[in-house]
Amino acid sequence: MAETMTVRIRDIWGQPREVELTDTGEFTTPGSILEQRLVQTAKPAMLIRKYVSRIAGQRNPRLYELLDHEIRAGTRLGQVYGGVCPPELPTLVGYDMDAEEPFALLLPYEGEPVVNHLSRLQSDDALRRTFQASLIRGLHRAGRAGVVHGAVLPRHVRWDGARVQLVDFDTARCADLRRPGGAAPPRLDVREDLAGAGMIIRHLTIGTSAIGSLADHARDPESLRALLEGVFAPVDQRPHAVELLRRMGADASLPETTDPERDLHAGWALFDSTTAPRTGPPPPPTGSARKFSRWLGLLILATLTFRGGPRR
Amino acid sequence: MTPPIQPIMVRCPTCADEFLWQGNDPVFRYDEAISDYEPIDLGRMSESRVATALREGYRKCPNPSGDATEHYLPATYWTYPDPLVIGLVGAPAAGKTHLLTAMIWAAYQHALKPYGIETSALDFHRHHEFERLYMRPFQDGGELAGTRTNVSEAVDILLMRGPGGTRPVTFFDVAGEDLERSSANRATRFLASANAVIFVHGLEDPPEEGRPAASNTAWSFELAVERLRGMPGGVDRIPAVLAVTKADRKRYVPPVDRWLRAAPHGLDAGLIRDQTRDVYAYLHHAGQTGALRPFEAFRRCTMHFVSASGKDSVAVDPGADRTERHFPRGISPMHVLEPLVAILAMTGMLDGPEARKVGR
Repeated sequence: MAETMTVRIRDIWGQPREVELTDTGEFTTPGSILEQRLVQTAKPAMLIRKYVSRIAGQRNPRLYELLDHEIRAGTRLGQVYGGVCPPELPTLVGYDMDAEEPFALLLPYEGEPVVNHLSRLQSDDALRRTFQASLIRGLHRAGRAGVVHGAVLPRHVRWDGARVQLVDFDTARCADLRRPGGAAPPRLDVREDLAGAGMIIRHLTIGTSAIGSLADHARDPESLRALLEGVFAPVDQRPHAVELLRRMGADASLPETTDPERDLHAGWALFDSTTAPRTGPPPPPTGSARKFSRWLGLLILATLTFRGGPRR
Repeated sequence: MTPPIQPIMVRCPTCADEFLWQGNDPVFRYDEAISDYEPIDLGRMSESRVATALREGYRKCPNPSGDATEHYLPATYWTYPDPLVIGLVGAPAAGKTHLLTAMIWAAYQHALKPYGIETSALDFHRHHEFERLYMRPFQDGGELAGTRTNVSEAVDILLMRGPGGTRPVTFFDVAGEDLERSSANRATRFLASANAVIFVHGLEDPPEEGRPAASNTAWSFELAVERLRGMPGGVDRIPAVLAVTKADRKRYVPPVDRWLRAAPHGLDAGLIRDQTRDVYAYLHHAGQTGALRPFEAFRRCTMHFVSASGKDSVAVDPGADRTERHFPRGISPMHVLEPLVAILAMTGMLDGPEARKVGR
């Protein structure tokens, strides 16, 4: 009988709590660099434990960074989406980065690796369109939280017949919620992921020969070229995911989101009023004065600009 | 005897007594074999050997008020104008010792060089002991014991050379329990000699079973602030910083994540103010307003998220009935020098218009 262990984890807000975990066996996915196990807990019944074993960590210390990326993306997504992420994205339940063998706990993934379904998706146009829309919707929703996956490849994409789930965020990066000084544009552009998604869509549409042959766009079907217009351009010239959803005529709605810094606003205002007599009039708004909604606003503005712009 | 110099008024950082120092008092060396100080006869030495003996030697504080145990300072201590005395104040188990250890270690690793500051030991014996008892075990992943109570000696005395001159920098680690005793004690004495204070507030979790609950930051801070208010100049005279330790516990939570992950930068008063504002908002929301007392009281004060170890300690043997803890994958301090850099800016060790804006 498998041993049950009580472990102390932190949730997406850094709050500690204890959970009982029972290891139930190996869990493999084609894209995970990190080791994975399935663990049983009281609620929910099963979780994925991504971890760095002592031996693996000694051989390759970079694995700790990858796990840190996974947790950072998971906490950001959870904070923005109120704890449970949209189905296209994984949901982080908790983590312990301080243990000798640090780990992240995730809700079980949906579906199967898409690599198991390539031929079906290649042959069924309607199904492929559903897949495409779901993949881009996943990027739209990750981008809404300022998360860039960093390696959108078939081995990190799952498919349950109706919906995509993008997993393995070990190469992910998160945009700053605010920027010092305010004026500088975010260094991280959520459009980075679009090229990877475009490659997958192209591969499913025109076959294996598409992989690695970006220069050969001229032979792509017109509908595919129209759909992926600008997707392989330099990042700052790419369309946003919402624009691709619009081209597909697909649902671009976002689930309800929360500003992860909403609880700080009162304190900022109090600080500004407290320090005004000490420092004179408050300085012009700095990066730290910018609220999440403004940051989001810029993103939406850029999107709207694209939507309203001329189409070639 | 060393040649007499023009008498100057000096203050001992240990007993806080002020007296006229003539520079011709005996010089001692620390003899490790007998763990005591032995006088040196400088009269028979060449000029170069005298210089070495002075650099490595000690002088005994006359302690005119006679209210402290015998104590010694580096022989050259009073030859430097304007020594800097920095005290760490905080509740028991707030993380003072870990922060101080990580901070001094980083300073010795030349991490202040980008700011134009070079660091060396001034008190070799004291530094050797600090390295043996604290820095090495910490670097090896050991969790340090808390600050010892009723200890009146400085933790370490460094010599910093920078844009604002060359100054001895003395660090005191004041046990929270000492501050909380109502009678006049060495904690009060230290506050009289300090010209900068680092208040240390730990981001505490609810206690684990079998571990004590964290102590009350607000009470320690309140006592220190009120005692400083009662001294000449007090909170207007000296700068303060608030170091929010154990911030790694919130390393994926805004605004802590932003500052713990920030790339190293030069002195930037605007960024320091941004971080101070975020710390204020965070503590305000968390209901830890007692920790904001120094910010409200001191004329110049900055606030910083730091992590001395970069991670939480874990039980050495989770199954055993022991409380020994360690950092199994070693330590990785985060931003531990930022409170010290702010102090150096606010005390003139860092020069220039940017330094003058810090904490205002």
